[in-house]
Amino acid sequence: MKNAWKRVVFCAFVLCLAIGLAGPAQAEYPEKQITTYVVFAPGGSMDSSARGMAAGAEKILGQPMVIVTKDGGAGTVGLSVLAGDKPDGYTIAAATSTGILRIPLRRKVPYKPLADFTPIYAYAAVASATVVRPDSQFDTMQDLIDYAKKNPGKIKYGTAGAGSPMHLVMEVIAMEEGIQWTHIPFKGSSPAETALLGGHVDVVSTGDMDKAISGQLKTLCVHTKDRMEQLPEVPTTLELGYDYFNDTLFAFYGPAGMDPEKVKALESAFAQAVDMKPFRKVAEQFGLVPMKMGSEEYTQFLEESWPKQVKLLKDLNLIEEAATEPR
Amino acid sequence: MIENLATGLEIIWTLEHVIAIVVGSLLGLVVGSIPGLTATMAVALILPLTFDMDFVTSIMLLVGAYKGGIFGGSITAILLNTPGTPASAATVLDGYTLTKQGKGVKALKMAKYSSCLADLISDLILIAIAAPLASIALRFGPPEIAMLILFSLTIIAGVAGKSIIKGLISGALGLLLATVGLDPILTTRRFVFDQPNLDSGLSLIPVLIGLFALSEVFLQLGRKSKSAADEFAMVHSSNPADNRVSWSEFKASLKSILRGAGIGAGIGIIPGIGTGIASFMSYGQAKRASKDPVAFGEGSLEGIAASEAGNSAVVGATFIPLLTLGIPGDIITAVIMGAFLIQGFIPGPLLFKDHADIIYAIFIGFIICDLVYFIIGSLFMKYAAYLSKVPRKTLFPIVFVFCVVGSYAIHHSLFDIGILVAFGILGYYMIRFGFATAPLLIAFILSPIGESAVRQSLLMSSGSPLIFFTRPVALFFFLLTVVSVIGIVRGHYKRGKTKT
Repeated sequence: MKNAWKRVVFCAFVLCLAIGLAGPAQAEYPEKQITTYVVFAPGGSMDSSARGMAAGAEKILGQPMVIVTKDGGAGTVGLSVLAGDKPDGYTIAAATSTGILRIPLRRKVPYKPLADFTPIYAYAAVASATVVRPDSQFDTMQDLIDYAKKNPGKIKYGTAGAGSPMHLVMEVIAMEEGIQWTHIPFKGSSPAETALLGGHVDVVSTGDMDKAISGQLKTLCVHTKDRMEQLPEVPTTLELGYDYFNDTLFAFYGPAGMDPEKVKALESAFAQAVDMKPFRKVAEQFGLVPMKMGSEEYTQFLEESWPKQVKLLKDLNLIEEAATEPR
Repeated sequence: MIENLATGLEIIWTLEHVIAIVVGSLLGLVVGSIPGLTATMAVALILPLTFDMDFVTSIMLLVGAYKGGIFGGSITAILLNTPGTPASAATVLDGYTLTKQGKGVKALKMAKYSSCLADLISDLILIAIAAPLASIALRFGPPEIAMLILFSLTIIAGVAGKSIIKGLISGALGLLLATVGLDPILTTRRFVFDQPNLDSGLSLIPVLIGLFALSEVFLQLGRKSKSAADEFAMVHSSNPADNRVSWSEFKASLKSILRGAGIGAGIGIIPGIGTGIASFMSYGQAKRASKDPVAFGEGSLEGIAASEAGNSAVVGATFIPLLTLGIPGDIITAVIMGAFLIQGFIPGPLLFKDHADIIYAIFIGFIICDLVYFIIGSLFMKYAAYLSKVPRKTLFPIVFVFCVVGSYAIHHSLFDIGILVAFGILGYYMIRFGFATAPLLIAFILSPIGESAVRQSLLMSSGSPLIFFTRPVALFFFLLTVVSVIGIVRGHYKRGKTKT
């Protein structure tokens, strides 16, 4: 009996080896599953959209994309792990541009944001908005600013945390209008909205668009580059004359030094996945703006954005110098 | 409403939905009973599988896993001193003591009865008065939460063990350790020594498992077997009275169960507090009100009843703010909210208007869940009790493996295993030197919520502490804190007098 078990285990072991070794013959990429880290917790817009993209892309690639959650540290934990992985095209990550462009400016991260990754494809722009309670006395951004001018520091606004794009946009508005308001950081947009509904803060600069889109909250302006399809009446920050929009993107990254052929294969799969139903459904629900930005263009975007972000954070007195070297 | 319930029952009563509930509960039970694998993880793992299912099926699967997971955590808490989830940390205090006395099965049964009863009560509250309760939840802004947490800290007195001073030292250590990581307001680093792994603080799960489970493994390793019977970690009593809960025992604990259900439901409604706190608070209050407070921590059935009622009652109640306002009350409901959104249902007031039938179907599903995990739990416990036949030298190495696997699984991080070992050693020495470990854990759970709330409040008031005393709900909890501190001091003074 004991021997029989030993044999079973031995056979299983050999089988595993055989499967593992059978690969290396010449074949077209990808020839096995692609492990995809998602750097935020399940259920949110990052995770859901990455799964939507993976569901579409694996049909094109002919190999499964296996999602592995690696959350923590506002997305920097997953990116740290990716930076140390092999650039063989079988380990990639879905992450926000925040982990490259924003967090490393404020605190030191164990990777070089512009040198340790191969940006592969940016597939969505994150929407955010300035919202108030539906019964609020403020109907437009101008109402809010007029009130803030007369009552310096009295308006309390909640955000998902200091240094988040939602925080930055409010501070840019304050700087350009020469007004003062009080920032109350929460742990995420959802708790901030709860405080808004309870009347503990007056305004929220939110990254969760579901309540804004469904009309449970009144939207004063959106922070996207263009007006949102779901909220066609609401002006953007750019239209209102503020030099800021939320340029946080959802994108796929690989470790630095990926084979350009493999990047191309992934690019074309993702480009088709953006138009497919699984991702579209998620994008609509979470208020994401679908987009198509390939590896080259996205790499350039990150390179150009770095000095801009440094300058912005310095202007707002949030940092003195970038905490991490870009390369 | 009756009409809605009737159509709801029609919708839910299909084979598919019932299977979803059974499978969900079973998965939750198994995952929840493995230390380190929490109910949150069970729900998060199942979520992606539900994307292609129909709406009610997917929600039932998730709710089953949530309820089963919270309940499953109590099984290993009682049998192995290893809370499967933070929610059942308070159950360890009496549950494991009972197991060592050979009454493990009795403890398990008490946990089952009280969990299911409290859960049912909480679900009925959800069905009957969800909407008005939700508006109360909104009144809890940062100042109210700050004072609620201050009040919760008085629980420490109830679990401090023999020396209240040592209990307070342990609690203070917990408060301090919770400040490691990013500052919640300024996002600057505190006590991280340039270790990015510490940015999000010491993870709760390795801390919890280290303090309770690993320290126990170390203690067991250090013990020498004196007799053959000592070879076994648990004594299996042949006395039938030790393997069941009698009606009079149940009746004696009923008050604690009802109180626990009330506390759990109350905590569940307020967004951002959580199950762990509910069970400790319920435990603390039960001890204060009990005729036999000295038995708490020495194997009190009432203690188990209170703790399990507290954490189970949270579950139904956390859905109140989610369904009525679209506000997830904890991490698990946040994950479930994701499932709602993916399926195109936006939680909030409109959901009741547009899809009342489906909402009531889900409500009835909640109650079916209670019944299902009662039955599955009974079967599960029958086999779990066989653990008592496993010798110590086999059992504890297995527990050790689970401790390590669970700590790793939470963030796939080797660093967390280091934290596990560090807290295992800390817990070992704390127990050796007579410091209770529960105060450290309670303070560690409460500290981040309390700190954020206090600092948000002070930002709101531009620095004036009056904000805590001018708002009725906050003032109420402040006064409650004062009253209970006076009560604790007087109790100690009295007991000290009778001793001498």
